[in-house]
Amino acid sequence: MSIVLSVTGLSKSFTLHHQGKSIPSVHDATFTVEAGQLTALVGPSGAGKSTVLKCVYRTYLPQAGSMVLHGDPTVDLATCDEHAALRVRRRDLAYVTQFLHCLPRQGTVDVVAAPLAALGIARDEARAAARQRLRELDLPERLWDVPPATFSGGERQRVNLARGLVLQPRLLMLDEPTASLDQRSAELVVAAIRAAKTSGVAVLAIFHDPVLVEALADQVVTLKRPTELPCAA
Amino acid sequence: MVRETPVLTASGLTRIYGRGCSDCVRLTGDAQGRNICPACGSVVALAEVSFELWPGEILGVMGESGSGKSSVVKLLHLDDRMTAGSATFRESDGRSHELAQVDEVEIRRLRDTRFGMVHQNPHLGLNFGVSAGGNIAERLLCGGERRFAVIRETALGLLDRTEVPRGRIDHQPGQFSGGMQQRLQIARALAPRPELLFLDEVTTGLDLSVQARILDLILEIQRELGVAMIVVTHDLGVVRLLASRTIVLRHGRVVEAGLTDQILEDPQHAYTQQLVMSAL
Repeated sequence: MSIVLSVTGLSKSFTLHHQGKSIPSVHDATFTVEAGQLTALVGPSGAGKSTVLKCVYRTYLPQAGSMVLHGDPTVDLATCDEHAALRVRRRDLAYVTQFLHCLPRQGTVDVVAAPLAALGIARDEARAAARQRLRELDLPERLWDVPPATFSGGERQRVNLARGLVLQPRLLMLDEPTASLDQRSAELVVAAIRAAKTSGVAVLAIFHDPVLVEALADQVVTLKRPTELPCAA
Repeated sequence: MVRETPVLTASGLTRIYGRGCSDCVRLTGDAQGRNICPACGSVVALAEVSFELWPGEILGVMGESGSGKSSVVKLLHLDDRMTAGSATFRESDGRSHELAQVDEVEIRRLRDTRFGMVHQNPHLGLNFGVSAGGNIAERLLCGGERRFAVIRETALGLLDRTEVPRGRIDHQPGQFSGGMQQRLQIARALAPRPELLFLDEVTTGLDLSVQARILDLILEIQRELGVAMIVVTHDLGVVRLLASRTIVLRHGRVVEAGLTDQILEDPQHAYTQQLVMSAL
């Protein structure tokens, strides 16, 4: 098995200058994610599970540690420059949260096709791939040309996952991908995650449901709530 | 298609209004909490600002009123000359220009053919004495185009592109709504197919639905033409939507630079934290 992501000694706290406080979030997290496998982050609320994903995506800047995405080229997301991080986001890394952030006023097919369009893939080809993903996740066809703004939570979440999978990323990060889904939709999502694993995608995921961890995870990483650190600010 | 060199490299951009002294830069800035030099009274609008802009990229420049964000654009668009520092503009044909040193002839050429500028106030970016078509034609004429049919066709294409009805090509901008004036400004700016587009608070003061159409238009232009842009705004929503990277200015200095989502969700500097927390 080849390692796709290795996170070593990752620590993140938030310094709030105006309150003179430092809020610890993650302390010394170390784990790997391998191709075709799923690493699940578990732990109580406030243990920093989502923070780890946001650090890997470079939305949060960690204080310490490395987050190396192996491949061509190998990049440490803790220290690489902004353009390198953007390149990784475009080509190698998909991040699916519980919330769908997309351009307003854009039809669902185009929302899902956007990552391919950003790579310069022709519009028709990108849209065809997007339709395929939406079909797999059983999003009703009458919704495909409508912007997702009016969708139910479950529908949005499937659009979000479809957009994450359309790229065939090297690393897929999922933050509670089944949180607001009914049973049937959740089953479709689980099937899509399995299929992604089979095709070699490395998955780093947070699930609210321990049954899903049991069903999908190859490695389980337990995070603990960090103890209050002495105030640095 | 992807060029691996920046379109623009700004290094140590500085603009001082007043006679200036050797202590101006040292005695002003974010740490000092002022941009007026206590030794000589000069205004340090901008000091030691450095960044790169890559092909097809949109860079956000954020900051409060008086932070120096519009000065960045004025210096780069050569409406004003820098006091110190350098800025290298590289055309796609490989020619590069040092903006601190270009002469008047070259300034004209760059502004007429390689740069596009869209102002907050359409009166600065449009000629209100000529028609909509004339506004676009002026830019094409400055770029050396003399064939009437080509000019007319290009103008109509740009009006379509920016959703200004063709039937209004002969009307003067004074008869247009604010949103349409702004779209005409964008059409005019795009006429010579510029490689670098400056947008200074282009949606400020417009109502929400009009803002939305302008922002959509800017994103379409980026997607279709791949033109690099610098977007100056105080609106966090605008940078979130448009810019992949953002710099934050205060008292004429860059206090924070990073990926836009990082700046908005994990701001490092006290000022940026305050700015982000102030958002509705």
